Amino acid sequence: MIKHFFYGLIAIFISNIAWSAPTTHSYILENGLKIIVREDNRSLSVSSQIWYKVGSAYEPRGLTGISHALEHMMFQGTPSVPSQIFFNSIAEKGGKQNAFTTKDYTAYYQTINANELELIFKLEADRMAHLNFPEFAIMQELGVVKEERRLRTDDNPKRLAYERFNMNAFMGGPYSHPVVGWMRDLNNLKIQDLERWYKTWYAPNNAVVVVAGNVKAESVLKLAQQYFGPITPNAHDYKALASVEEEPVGERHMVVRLQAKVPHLYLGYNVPSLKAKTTSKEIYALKLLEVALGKGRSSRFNKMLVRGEELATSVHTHYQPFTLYPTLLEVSACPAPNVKLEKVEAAIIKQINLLKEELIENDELQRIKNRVIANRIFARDSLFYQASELASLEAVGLPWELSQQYENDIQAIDAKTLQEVAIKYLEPNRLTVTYLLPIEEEIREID
Amino acid sequence: MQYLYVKPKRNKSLWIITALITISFIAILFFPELKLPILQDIRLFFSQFDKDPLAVPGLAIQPTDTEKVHGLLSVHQWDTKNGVPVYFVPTENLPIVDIKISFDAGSARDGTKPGLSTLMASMLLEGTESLSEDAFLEQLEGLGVQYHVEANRDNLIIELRSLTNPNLLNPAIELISALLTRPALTQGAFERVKRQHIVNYQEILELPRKVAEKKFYETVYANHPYGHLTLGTEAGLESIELQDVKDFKKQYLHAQNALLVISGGIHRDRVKDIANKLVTHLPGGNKPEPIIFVPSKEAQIINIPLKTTQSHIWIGEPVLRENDPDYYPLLVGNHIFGKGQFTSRLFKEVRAKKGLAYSVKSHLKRLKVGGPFVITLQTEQKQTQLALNIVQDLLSNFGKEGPQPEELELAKQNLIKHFPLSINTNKKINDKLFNYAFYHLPMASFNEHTAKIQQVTKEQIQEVWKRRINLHHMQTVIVGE
Repeated sequence: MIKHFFYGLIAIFISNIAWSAPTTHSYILENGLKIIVREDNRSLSVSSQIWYKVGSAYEPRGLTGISHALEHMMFQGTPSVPSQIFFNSIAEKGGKQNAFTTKDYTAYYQTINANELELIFKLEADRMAHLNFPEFAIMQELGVVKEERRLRTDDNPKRLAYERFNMNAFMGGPYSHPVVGWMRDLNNLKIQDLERWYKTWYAPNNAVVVVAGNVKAESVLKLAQQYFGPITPNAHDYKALASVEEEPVGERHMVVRLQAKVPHLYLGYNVPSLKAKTTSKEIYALKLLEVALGKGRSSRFNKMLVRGEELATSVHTHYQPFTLYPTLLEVSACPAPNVKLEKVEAAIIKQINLLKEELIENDELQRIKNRVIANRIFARDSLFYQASELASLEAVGLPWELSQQYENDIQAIDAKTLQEVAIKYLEPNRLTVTYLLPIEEEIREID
Repeated sequence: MQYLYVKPKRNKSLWIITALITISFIAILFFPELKLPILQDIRLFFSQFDKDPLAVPGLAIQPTDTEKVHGLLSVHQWDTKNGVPVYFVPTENLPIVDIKISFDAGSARDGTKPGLSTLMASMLLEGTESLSEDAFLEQLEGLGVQYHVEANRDNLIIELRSLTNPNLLNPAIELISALLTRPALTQGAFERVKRQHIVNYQEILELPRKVAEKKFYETVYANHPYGHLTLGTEAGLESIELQDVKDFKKQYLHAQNALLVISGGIHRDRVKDIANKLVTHLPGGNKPEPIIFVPSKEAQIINIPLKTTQSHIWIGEPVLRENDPDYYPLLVGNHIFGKGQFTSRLFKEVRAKKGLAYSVKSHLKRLKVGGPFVITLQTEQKQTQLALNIVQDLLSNFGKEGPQPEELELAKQNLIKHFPLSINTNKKINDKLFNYAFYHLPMASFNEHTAKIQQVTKEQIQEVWKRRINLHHMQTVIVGE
């Protein structure tokens, strides 16, 4: 009782601090481009980002990896700004830039002095409409992409096993192939495919620009009108993607044997994303389940499996609710020496079942809420994070305003809801399990 | 006419004097323990701020003779009464504080038991004399703080990030203070943590990149405290007993070996309290001997056979010293050669022109002695020789010809203009401050960064490169079939 009061009190401290709500403005240009501006003048810098609503989930069979390959091509230059000029003009202003592709979107970002925002808009607007597709570039850039795949996945047994886990968990759906693509598809990719992909998805009415930093919203809007305004929208119907909730199809088990040194366990439940649900309650309850089970050293898996029974050397959980399609609540674990994966799996399921059988105590619930909310305040230290949080919502068709009620949505979840959601979603028919086992052969001495 | 000119002047100075007297009076009233600083100090202090001099109210007239304020970021520095140096940067607008406590107790201090310092670090999160592991972690995480403990080659660092509200920060400080001075160090937790580290060691060596890194350090720093991964070695980890951890703590986790670095939206008086609570209970001890110089050796190529699709290549040698007089020419040179994002020679030749690698870079890593200059890349097995030839040609050309004027200008502009962006968050400020403090870089160089980079010439880079990046000492490690 006293304990409960204690963590409840802490919650009050945290929520009092939380929002001296940052000023955010949003606009839509006539050509459909959405502009969001977060004014934050703690530094002289700005994070400028443009997110296109296309990623690996949009890719048809045979063209896997094309969104990511196009992200690479976006650095190949335009008729007016050749590649090296593009790099140099940002570098000489002290800017840092890069890009990333996920299942749902492709994002390009720069951190630079706020005075240089005009340069960034000029460059981004130019490559939104006028990208070069020279035949020679694809040889070179696809070479780089394949090396990236080899580096990140092919020579990394955990990532390779995880790729196969996803195939099984998403059952041929839009998330079942890797963002980087299958090697066979990369080998067959043509420059014409890339150009067509670019012309289909890269348009002002399929993008969102987010700027966070030492700027005034009106001046950002003016710059956006000047540089992005003249680009004609694409007639493509971007609303076509339907988001269907996946039916629980049954428990899926898989064993992957690879050149690894230690076994590993992947486990995931098919669960909804916010996009796929009209009621958001379940999503925030799932988020809290993720934290209760595996985020932080005081989480249940760490307490019971890593310390308590000493069955695992590490256990992690992951759930990201802002996705286009239904997603997974994932658990991954590394067993302690001489502990069978079956035993670790059983212990994980046992902890999950406990959450279904017994109401979580208010004290524990409050502690995990405190962590979720405090972490978001910490994240506000970064302009990049602030901008990408807003963009990641818009890029999957959710309003950025959701980010401002996140605290309230989290606080509103009670123990009963948590239990109901655990019972509804963390059930065997939604479960996929993958074992990574080291190939039983003499591993060559490396010393 | 003359009279008319003088009169307002006198009025103005009278006003200033009145203001100063008032300020001093207020200061004496509210800070009775304060020795009044001389006017010069006030002026000096105010000139440090580029924006709002009273960003942290009440702070402006506090520096005393034992406390110094440096540069652009207004770095406050003092020693606690048991001699721990404290560095503090006040920041604005976010209720966050970042804290780093470090000890000269990195893996370079592992001695004959590689892995000892990281085990020490992990054991700090296993409860205190009065709190079990579970109770300790539950309390700490319930406060919504972020924390992290790690060992690097040169140091062991405990990091805390908290909201500044005293009801959250104060108990967090109590907990961190307890783990520093009274960690439980029980046999049960030790056995478990040791097993975790051994498994973790086996896991990371699944990655060819890590196999290459391990061999690189073993080769370049053979028989030197830097000669193993910070995680240790499997044999080293196996050999460690709980008593070793206890001895290590006694030998290295003490006041004479500690450093405290804090940045945040918090008043300096509170920082003093925090500093006292965190480190004044640390026991005393002897400062360890400095890490010795790393000798260079003859160039060699080492092949490690491994079943992988790519070869991982590491090429390098020990270069950088603490307070290295050649630092700026090396920094700019390395930027041009292999560090500059999308603009370096390595990037242009290996990736942009030939598509041979996803990641190809050169690094100039800071260590107490002999920080490595190292080129890293990875490429499909069959392209290994091709990539290696290109890199070697680039390396020898750069030494011979130095940078082109436009490359030099681009690198300078990038480094100079990026500097403010590299301190645009509270966390980045604290990390940079820590780096300066731990490696004894003059705090003044925060301000001099621009000038120092501006001064670097092509000839200087060429001369320093020839002298310091010696092709005859390059160690090449290739992991792959």
